[in-house]
Amino acid sequence: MKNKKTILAAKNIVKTYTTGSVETKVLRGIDLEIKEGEFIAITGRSGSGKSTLLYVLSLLDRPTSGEILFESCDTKTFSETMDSYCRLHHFGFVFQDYALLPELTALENVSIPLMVQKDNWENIKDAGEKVLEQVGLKDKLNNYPSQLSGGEKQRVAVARAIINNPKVLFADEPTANLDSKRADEIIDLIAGLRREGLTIVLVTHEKKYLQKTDRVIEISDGVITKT
Amino acid sequence: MNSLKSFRVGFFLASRQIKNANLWVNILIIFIMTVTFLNLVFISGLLEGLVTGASKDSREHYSGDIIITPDEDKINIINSNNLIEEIRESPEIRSYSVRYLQGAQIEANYSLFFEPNVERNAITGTITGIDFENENKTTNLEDFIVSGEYIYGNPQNKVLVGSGFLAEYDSAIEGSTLEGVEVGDKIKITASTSPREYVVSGILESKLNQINNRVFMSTQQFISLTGRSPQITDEIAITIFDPQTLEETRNKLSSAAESSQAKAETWRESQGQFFEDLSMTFTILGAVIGAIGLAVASVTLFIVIFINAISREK
Repeated sequence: MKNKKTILAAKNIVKTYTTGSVETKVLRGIDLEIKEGEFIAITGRSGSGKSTLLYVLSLLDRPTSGEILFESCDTKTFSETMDSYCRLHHFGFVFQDYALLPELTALENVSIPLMVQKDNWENIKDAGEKVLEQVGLKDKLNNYPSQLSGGEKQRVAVARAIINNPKVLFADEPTANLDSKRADEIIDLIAGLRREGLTIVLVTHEKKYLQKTDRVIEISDGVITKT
Repeated sequence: MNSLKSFRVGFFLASRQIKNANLWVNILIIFIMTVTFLNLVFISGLLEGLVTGASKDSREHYSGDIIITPDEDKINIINSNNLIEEIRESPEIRSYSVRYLQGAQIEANYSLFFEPNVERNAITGTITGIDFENENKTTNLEDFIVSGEYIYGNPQNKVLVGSGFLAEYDSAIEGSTLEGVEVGDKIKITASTSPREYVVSGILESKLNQINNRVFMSTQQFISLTGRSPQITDEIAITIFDPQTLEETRNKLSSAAESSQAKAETWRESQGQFFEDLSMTFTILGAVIGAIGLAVASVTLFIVIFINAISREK
């Protein structure tokens, strides 16, 4: 990994939330570099700031101070439109609660990111079918989320995250709502996506999954305690 | 291009949302939106239209483009001949109608013999002397005949009666209208001189009080009945060829009207501040009703969509 170039970097990231007169410092000067193709895990106790760090790294949220560099570009200079463009074209997301649209079928849910990018519906449909096949849901294309199990929903979410061939996949506690067996399958699925160039950032508090990653970053009270 | 794609995705999501939502929820949402739209567009439009319609009617069927009436502190227009001559010679003027007005007692269903114990069917109203052809050219009075015939020429003892005087047409306070008067019936009008008998040739009904609450007779009949000098008139309604010359024509007639103790006003001036105030009031009222309707509809739609989303999530 040493020869790989840095795809994401965080420099002295501070994130503070203010509620009324109460100021809560969630991240207190995080420095981090993530190499291209690296599979890293961010772990820590509840409230340690691991999810906040993921949101800041993935441009879903802005740091109070500090810099996020994506492919050496300082994202502080990005407009909201550029943030959106970056998230759409370069990042994929998997969330704990799946974040699927209940009125769309699995195929439609997966196809949404491509609809914004491409014109040809047939191509979009083909890509959707292909990626669902890749996650083992070939026979559930036209099922609605309410007709899928938790594990299947998360597979659809993974398929949606990778359909646009992202450079970085962010997964925020993707196994939190799943039983042990389904959780293992999802982690194996995500780990199996490690192809050349795909970087994975996994937020989890499950110790057993850490060994599958290249590097573990442990956070406690907003600072990195182990890397 | 991007916005087109975003629109396409938005449309796709909306279509799926509608397709998969509860049918009755969709119907309710569409109903609320339709009612809100109607409320926004039609209520304000209706209120504004009422005023505009009344103003237009007044112009087309009463005042014409310009109307000459006595000065504020005067009762009649005097020396009308000079003024009428000026009007007749003005090339901008398309038509005009000179009107003579006077209060009179109008009686129907009367007996030839005095019967002290029988209640008389009599009212007090305004009689109007006009040249029927000129009036029709100027205000299309014939259009408002709802029964009987319009009067042409100068027939003896024929009148047109406004519906406001007749119980069959106007459900006003009992005793303020004539009972059972129809076309062909005789009515008795008493003005300055002794009463005369007239035959009802036609009945007029419009939205204007100036038509509904008058009895129309020829100028000659009026003068004969009231003994009024032809030089003393009450209203002159005028229409012009070109609306662009309205102010110019009004100014020209104003100086002639001054020497007759009268004033010339455009149709808008003659309607006064009333219509403008009414229009403004209705506009504000429409906006307020629309805003309240929009707010109520927004909250209702939010609640409906929210409950629908929550229940589907479950």
